[in-house]
Amino acid sequence: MALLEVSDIYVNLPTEDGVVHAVQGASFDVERGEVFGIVGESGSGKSVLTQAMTGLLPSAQISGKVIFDGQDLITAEPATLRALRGKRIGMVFQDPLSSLHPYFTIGSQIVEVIKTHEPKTPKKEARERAAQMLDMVGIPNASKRLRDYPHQFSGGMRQRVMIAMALVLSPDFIIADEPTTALDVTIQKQILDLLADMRERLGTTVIMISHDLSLLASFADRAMVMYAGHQMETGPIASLFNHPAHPYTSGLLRSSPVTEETQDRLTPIDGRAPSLLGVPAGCAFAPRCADADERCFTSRPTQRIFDDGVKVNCWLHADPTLVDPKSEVDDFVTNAHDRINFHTFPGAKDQPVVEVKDVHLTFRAKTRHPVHVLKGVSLSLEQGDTLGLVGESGCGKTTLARAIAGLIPTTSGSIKLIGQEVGGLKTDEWRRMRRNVQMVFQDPYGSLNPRRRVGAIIGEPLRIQKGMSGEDLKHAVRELMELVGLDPEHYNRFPAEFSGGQRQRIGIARALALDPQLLIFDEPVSALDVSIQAQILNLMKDLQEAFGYTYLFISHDLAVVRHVCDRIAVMDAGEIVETAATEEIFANPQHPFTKKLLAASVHPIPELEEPNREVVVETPGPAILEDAEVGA
Amino acid sequence: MSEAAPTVAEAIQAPAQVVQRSSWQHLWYRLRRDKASLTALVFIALVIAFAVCAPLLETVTGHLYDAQFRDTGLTPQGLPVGPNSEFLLGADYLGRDMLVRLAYGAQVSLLVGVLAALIAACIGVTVGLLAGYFGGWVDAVLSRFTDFVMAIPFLLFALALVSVYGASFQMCLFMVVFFSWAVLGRVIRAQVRALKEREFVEASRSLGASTPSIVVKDVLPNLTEPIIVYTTQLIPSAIVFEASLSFLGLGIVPPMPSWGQMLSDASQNSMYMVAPWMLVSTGLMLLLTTLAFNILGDGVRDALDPKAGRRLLAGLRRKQKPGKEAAHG
Repeated sequence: MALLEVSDIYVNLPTEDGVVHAVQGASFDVERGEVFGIVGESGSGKSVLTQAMTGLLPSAQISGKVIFDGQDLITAEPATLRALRGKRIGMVFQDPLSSLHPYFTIGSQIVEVIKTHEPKTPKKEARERAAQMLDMVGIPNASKRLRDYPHQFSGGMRQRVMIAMALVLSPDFIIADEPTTALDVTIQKQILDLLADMRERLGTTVIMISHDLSLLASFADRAMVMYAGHQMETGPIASLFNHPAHPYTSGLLRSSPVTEETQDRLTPIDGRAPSLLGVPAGCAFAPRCADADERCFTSRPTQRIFDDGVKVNCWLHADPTLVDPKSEVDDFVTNAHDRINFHTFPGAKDQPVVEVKDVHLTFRAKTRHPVHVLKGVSLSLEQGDTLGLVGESGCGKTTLARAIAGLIPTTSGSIKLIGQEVGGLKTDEWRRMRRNVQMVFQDPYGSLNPRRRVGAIIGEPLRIQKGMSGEDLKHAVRELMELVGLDPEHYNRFPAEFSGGQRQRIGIARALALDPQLLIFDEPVSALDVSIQAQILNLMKDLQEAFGYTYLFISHDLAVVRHVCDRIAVMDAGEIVETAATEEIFANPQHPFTKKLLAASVHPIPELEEPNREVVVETPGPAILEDAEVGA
Repeated sequence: MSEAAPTVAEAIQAPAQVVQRSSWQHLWYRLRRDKASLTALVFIALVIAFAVCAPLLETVTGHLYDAQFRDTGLTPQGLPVGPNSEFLLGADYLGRDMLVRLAYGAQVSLLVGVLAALIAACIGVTVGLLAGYFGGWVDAVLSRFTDFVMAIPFLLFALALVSVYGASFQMCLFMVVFFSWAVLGRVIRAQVRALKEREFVEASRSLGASTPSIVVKDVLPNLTEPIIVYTTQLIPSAIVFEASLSFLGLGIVPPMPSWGQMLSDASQNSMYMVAPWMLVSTGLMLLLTTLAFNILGDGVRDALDPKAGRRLLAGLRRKQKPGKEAAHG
C-alpha cells in the first residue's frame, strides 16, 4: 500500500479579487521510500497542494482525500495534524534564512522540535540527538555549533540545519519545497546529494517540489507535472524526460536551457500562464498548446494510464507536435532600421566597446574591515560581442556591471567605454555617455516604478536624453513596445498589469530606447519561469542579430549563458578566473572553479528506450467543481 | 458552467484578469465595505455641511453669532435658557445662540484641522524626502531639528509665544502646524531610505535622470499611501490641538467662536451646573468629530494596507462557516 494516496484534491483560496482555483483535481500516490517530484512553474499550485495536504492553509477550501498511512489528512482535527507535522511529516522550505528563528540558537530550535513531540525526552539526550543529526547532515563540529545562531551559518549550511530539523524525529516522509532554489549551484548539488544520502540511510520518503524539471532528473523516481492547478502528466522520471506524452511536458523540456544541450535557440511555450480566478471549461493548457483543437477548449481531457505507469490528462492521442521556435522580433524589425534612427555606431569599428583594466573596488564601512569586492578585473568587449559573466552570488559580478554602467565608482583601475576613460567624467558628460551604455535589471518587479505608466517608463530615457515629448515621444515608445513584442495599445497601463516576462520586455524596451552600443543584462531571466525565460533569451538573440548590439550578460547559470553568449568569463571571489569561447568552456574547462560550476549545473538524464506504450485505462478526467462544492 | 458548453472563443476569453486599480479606486473599493468608516465619512460630510450653512442658520434664526439676547436668551435671574423653539440648542451665559455659535465653531475647527494638517503634511514630506534621500549632513541637521521639535514642551512654548505676540488665528495655526509635522517627517524619511535602494531608482539613475526628477517622479508617487494615511490622522489631532489652545485662551480670539472657547465658557464659574447644554452640545460635537476623523483614518490605513486583504478574508470565512456546516451536516 502506498504511504500517501491523494485522490481528487481541489483547493480554492478565496481572495479579495475572487476565488483562486489553486488546485483542480490532482490525484497521485507516493510509495514508501521513493522520491516523488512535483514540477510546475510559478502559480501552478504545487506548493499550495502540499500545504493544503498538511493543514498549513487554514483559510483554504479543500475537498478530496489525502490518505496518509490509513488516515485522511483533510478531515483530521488540527491537533492531530499538528502532532503529525514534525513527528511523521517533516518539512524543508525554500528560504533557509526566514524559516529559522533568528533569536534562538539552532540547538534550542532542534531541541524544541524534539521536546514538542516527545516531551519526556531529557534535555541532555535531546541535545545529543540534535548534535548527531547535525553531524549526519555534514555540519562540522556539530556539538559546538549547537550554540550558534542562524546568521552564523552560510545559506547552504542553514539549509542543512533545516534538513536536520526535519529529519531529527525520523519522520516517514519529508516535503521539500524548492529546497535548493535560493542557493548557489554548487551548494545546490551538495544539498541534493545530502537529501539523496539521507533517504538511503533513513529510508525516508521524499516529496520534492521544484520549478526545474531537470533538477529532478537525477534525483526523483517519479514526478507529477502541474500547470495552472491542473495535473498534466505523472510518471517515472525517465519516461517524462525521454517520451513526454503531454504537450506541456514536452514544451517545458524544450524551453529549459539545461535540457537543450546545443547552442541553438530554445523553443519557448507561446503565451502566458492563465489567471486562476477562472475555471477553464477544457484543458488549462489549451490556449498555449500547438496541438489544441476545439475539443481541448470545450471539455476536460480524459485521463489515460499507460502500461509504463505514465498517467496523462490530454485529448491528444499521438506524440506532441514539435513546434519550431518563431522569431521574437517580427517583420516589423526587418524594416524598422530607418524608423528608429538606426545608426551603425560611429567610431566604434577600431576600438573595443568596453575595456576594463585591473579594476579594484573596495567597500569601506566605518566600523568593519574593508571588503574587497573586485580584485583586479580586466576584460574587453568588441563591437557585436556577447560576453557571459558567470559566477556565484557574492563574487562581484553585479558590482562589476554597475561599475561599468557608472552607478558606483571604482577604487582603482581604468574603465574605457568606446575609447573614453569614464573615471574622470563630470556629471553631464556621464549623462551623455549613458546613451551608449544601458542596463536591464534582474528583478522585473523591482526595476519598474509601480506608480508610473508603461509609456512614461519606456519614454523616460528619450525624454531625458533627447528632449522628446508629445506625439513624437508617444510614437517612439509605441515602436519600441512593438519591437520587444508588447502590444502598443497597452501604453497607458501600470507595470502591475503585466506578467513577469512582459515586465522584463518593458525593461528591455527602456534600455533599447537610446539605441545604446552596449547593453548590460544583470540576470535578466533568473526571476522568470522556464517557458518565459526562453522567450526573453530568444528576444535578446534576435535583437542583437537585427541591430548589432554588444551584450554583457551576467548570470549565475552556465546553462542559460550557453544559449546566448559567444564567450564566457567565469568569476570567483572578485577575480575572473577563466575566459574562453562558450563551447570551449563546456568541452574543456581549465580552472578548478569552472569545473566545479560545470559539474554542479549539469544534471544527468536517465536514458530510456523507445517504449511500446499501450493504454491500460482511459477514464474521464477530474470533474469541474463549483466553488460551493469545494471545502465540504 | 458544465451545462452550456462555451465556444472556443469564449473559453479563451474566460480567464479573468486581475485589474490593477489606481490607489484612489482601491481605497474607495475597500472603504465601501467598512461600515464604521462609511458612517464616519457621512458624519464628517454632515459636519462640513453644518459649518458651511452657518451664515444660513444665522439668517434663518435671526441670531448673529455674537449678538447677545438678554431678554429672550437669559432668564430673569440672568441664567441662560435651555433648548426651546427659539434657541434650539439653548443659549450661553451671554444669551448667544448656541446652535449658530456651534456652526461657526465648526468652521474654525475644520479650517484649522484641515489647513494645519495639510501644511504640516507638506512640511513633513519635504523634510522627510530631503533627509531620507540625501542622507549625510542634510539628514543629520533635519533629523536633529525634528527631534528638537518633538522634545519641546508644547504648552509652555504656546504660553510664551502668545504672551509675547498675542493670540490670533494665524498664531494658533502656526502652533498646531509646528507641533504636528515631526512624526510624518520621520515616517517619510524611513520610507524614502527604503525606496532609494529600490532597483527602479537605480534604473532611473542609469538613464541619466537628474536628482530632482528621481525624487519627484520615482520616490514621491510611491509615498502616496503613508501621506494619505498620516494626513487623515493629523486632522483630528489638529482639531483637538486647536480646541485645547482656545480652551486656555491661547487660540482663537473672541468673539469669533470656537469649540474650545465654548467649552471654556461652559466651565467658567461652573456654568455647566446650571446650563449643561453648553457643555454637552459642544463637547459631543468635538468628541464625535474627532472620533469620526480617527475612525476614517483607521479605515483608510486598513484599506491601503496590503495585508488587509487577509483580514477581509478571515471575516468572509467566519460568515460562511455556519452555512457550510448546515449544508453538509
